[in-house]
Amino acid sequence: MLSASKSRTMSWVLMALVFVAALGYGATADRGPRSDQERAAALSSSIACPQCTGQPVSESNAPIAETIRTQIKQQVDAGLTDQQIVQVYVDRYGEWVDLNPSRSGLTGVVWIAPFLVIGVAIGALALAFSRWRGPAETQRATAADAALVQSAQEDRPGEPS
Amino acid sequence: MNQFVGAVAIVLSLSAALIAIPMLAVGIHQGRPQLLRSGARYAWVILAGMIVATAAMQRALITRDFDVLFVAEHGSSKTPPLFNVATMWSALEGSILLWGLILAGYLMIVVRKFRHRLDDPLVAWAMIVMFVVTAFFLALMMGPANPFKSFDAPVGFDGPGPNPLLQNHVLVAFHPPMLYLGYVGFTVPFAFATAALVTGRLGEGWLLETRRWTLFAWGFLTAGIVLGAWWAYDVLGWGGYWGWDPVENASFLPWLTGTAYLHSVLVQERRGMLRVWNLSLVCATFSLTILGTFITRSGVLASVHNFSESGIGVWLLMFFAATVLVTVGLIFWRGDRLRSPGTIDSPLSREGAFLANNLAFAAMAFIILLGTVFPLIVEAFNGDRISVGVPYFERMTMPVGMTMLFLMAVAPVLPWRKAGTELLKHRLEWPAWTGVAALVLSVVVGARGFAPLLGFTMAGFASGSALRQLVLATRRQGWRGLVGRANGGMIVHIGVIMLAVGFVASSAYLRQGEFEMTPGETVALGDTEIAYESSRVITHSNRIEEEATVVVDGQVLTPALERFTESGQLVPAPATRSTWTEDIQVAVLVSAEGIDQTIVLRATRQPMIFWLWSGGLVMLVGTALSAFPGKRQRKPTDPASAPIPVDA
Amino acid sequence: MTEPAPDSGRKAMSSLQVVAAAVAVVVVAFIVLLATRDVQVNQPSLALVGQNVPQFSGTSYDGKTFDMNSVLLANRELTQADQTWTVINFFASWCGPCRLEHGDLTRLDTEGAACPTRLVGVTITDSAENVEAFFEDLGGEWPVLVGDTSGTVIDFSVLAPPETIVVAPSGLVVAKFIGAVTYERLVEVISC
Repeated sequence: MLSASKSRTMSWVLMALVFVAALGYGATADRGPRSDQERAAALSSSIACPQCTGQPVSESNAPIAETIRTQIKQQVDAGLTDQQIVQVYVDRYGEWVDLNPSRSGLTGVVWIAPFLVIGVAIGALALAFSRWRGPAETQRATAADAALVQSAQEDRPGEPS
Repeated sequence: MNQFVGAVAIVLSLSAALIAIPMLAVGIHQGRPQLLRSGARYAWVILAGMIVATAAMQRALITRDFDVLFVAEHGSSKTPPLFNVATMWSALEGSILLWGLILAGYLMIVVRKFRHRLDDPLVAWAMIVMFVVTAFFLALMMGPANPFKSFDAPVGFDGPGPNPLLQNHVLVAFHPPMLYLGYVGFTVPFAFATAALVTGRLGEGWLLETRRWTLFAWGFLTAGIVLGAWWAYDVLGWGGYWGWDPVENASFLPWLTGTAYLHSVLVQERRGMLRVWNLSLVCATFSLTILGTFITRSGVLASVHNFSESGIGVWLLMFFAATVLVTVGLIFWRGDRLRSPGTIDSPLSREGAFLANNLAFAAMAFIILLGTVFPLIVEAFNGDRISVGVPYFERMTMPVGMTMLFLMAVAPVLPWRKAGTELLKHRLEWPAWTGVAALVLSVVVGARGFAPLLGFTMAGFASGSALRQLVLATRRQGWRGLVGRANGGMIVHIGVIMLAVGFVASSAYLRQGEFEMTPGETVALGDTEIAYESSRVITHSNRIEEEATVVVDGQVLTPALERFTESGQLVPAPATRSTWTEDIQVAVLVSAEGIDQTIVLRATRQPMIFWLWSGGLVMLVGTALSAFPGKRQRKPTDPASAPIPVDA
Repeated sequence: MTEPAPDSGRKAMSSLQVVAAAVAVVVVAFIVLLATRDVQVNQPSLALVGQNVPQFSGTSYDGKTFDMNSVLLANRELTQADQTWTVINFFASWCGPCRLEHGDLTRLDTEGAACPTRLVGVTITDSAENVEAFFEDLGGEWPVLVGDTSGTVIDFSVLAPPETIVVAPSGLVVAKFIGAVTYERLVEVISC
């Protein structure tokens, strides 16, 4: 008879195997290159409708948005790459129609800054933890302290408001 | 007449606020409790004024009194009755009036609740802060956002009515008031936090007093945001419910800091720690509601919600500046008092998990704020116009969301102070199996893709953990195992998990198609059959509805295209077939024309949309249950920190 | 009872104050940023200026047709003095500034400029009936393309009416005006 701890460990090992197998299968099965429809949909979500207030063409009923969606489908069918399709509209209207901010230049900061800030925060937390550990381990109470707490708990005057 | 009454009521309220503030200040300074009590009573006058002003505005809207400029600009004899009431908050001035009304209501409730403690300087300072905030909004109503300006209406004048998108769905009557009940509700904990800082009394007292306020405000804000998403889903026509629009993001930020606060306040209660952080969170939440209002109303960031751009932006920005700088200044000044004696013994503990939770929420808030204002930063630096849209937000918030789900799974089983791995292996076993089961189930029903599958696993893991807590609690305490802070919190977690699952599934597996159809034609979107039968035209008072009858997988739906007569604007009115597993929404893009009555129909299929709205409902139920007083009252002599060894 | 050492207490206070001061600086910078922004509107594009005019064609509300390429081809056959400039006006009947500039466009159509000029309009999200009513109301007799003009609107990087593009006989785009134009500004750029 396996001890509870050992059978639990085996349960976890089995779980990990099932997890890796299922996730591996689900993530890679019928995972060919993205279908044309998916590419067109993704592109429509990343190109802004020029006459709207920041919405992608996939989220606008304006005729111009409709036309751009149709054009995107045609361009995907014609074999243009995602980059080329976005460039068509950036050339016409400017950088602002690309809702995916560029990775280079000043704009690229928006991609890096969160990681930097989170890194600094984790660093600060780690520093705080080490500082908390330090003094706590050197503090010890005396018997007199314990007696003081004991007597305070005994003659409590009742619930304070 | 309406406009006179309304204007006088606003003046009355503002005067009351301006009298009360110095009265309370003098009362505190000179230690005169009688002044403090009478000063606080002015809240009644403010509330009376706001009720009268709101009643005057509603009367003007309902009777279509075009002598009031606001009604002339936004009201119309053709607007259906329900939407007339909601017209009040369909534009700037009425919205500020609504804000003022809700703020006056909260003010009165605070005065009532603390009526036996009005002579306590901390309560008096909190009242001063609330009166100052109220005076600000009342001053806005007297100047830049005056709802009762007069108008010389020519004979036979009829107003244009509110924006068509604000008069074709019933949720217009619920989403803004809920949202405001949330935003404005955060004023109360903020007032008490400021009062605690000013008086230097930073013990646990004020925290417990205002916990329920924060919870209710948070609950209303959650309801407001979910209702907004539902409304968008129901009227836009492409199945979207969250667009990472600047105004949507602005409403989400205080929700994130508020949620972080609701968690880290537990650490303060138990261990006496994180006091500065909690104060900062409360003040940040309130400040972010003001920032959010600024972003909505100033037009600095283009958004679909910019239905009112006006000069009010500069005032809101100044108020935001004052709020933040005063808060930071107070924390700077009182820093010495805020040192807490407790420490956190181990990162692998409930405290550690809450710290990680706060880090995750702060990270998400930072990402969303950065992404939203980044175009302004770039433009200020080099004049370039760039956009930061959906692709950025989705990609950056996804890992943070996964982390939050993971923490939701692990934190409830962690004990305070320190946890051992054996304990974790034992307690997390069943939740982890639930997670794996969810993964296998997802793969079996056909879900593919690493990110969504990982999301479903985490969701299963987290729900297993929450259910485990609830089962243990109900076994111990019967029905009481479902109420109280911890158990209600687990139910809220389940609601969040349902919402997350709905979000992941509907985003990852959306399928859309546009079809040109003649009557009698059937098309297929994936496995779904859509048949177009006929069209007809219905005339209403304010619009012409071009309705199509469509059969989707056996269910008859009537999507329509509404043409508002006044503005000529075309607004879609999609129809949805909703089940627990998937939603199919059909929207008319081009209504029937020509002899052959062809229409262009857009069909969108998204799995598990219903989980979004039901998850939101579960969150609200959990919030209500959470507010139930728990049976276990904390004793003042309960240890606040880990015991240190005693030298015998 | 142990007390925190006075030194560590003072150091901790100042670190909190440092953080508070840093937060205040960031917030002030943020507020200055927001205060100096204008209302955000989509930025019109002048990318077309200096490029060749995109090909477009269509049917006018009165049934006539127009084709840009035909105009350019015809220009090649003509002497320099006879070649026509083309002024393309993107407009809509519901647009206020379009009404304002209509008088100037009519003047260009009737009086002409230094060189032979032809005017062609392109509607944005409008119907033939509205355009006809507009022109009946305010006058003007040049072809105005109606129907599905979105492709042309995109090709010309047009955001919102009115926008006017001036094309030289060779097909080179010499100017793009955003907003209502005046007769003077138009004839200024037309030179033979």
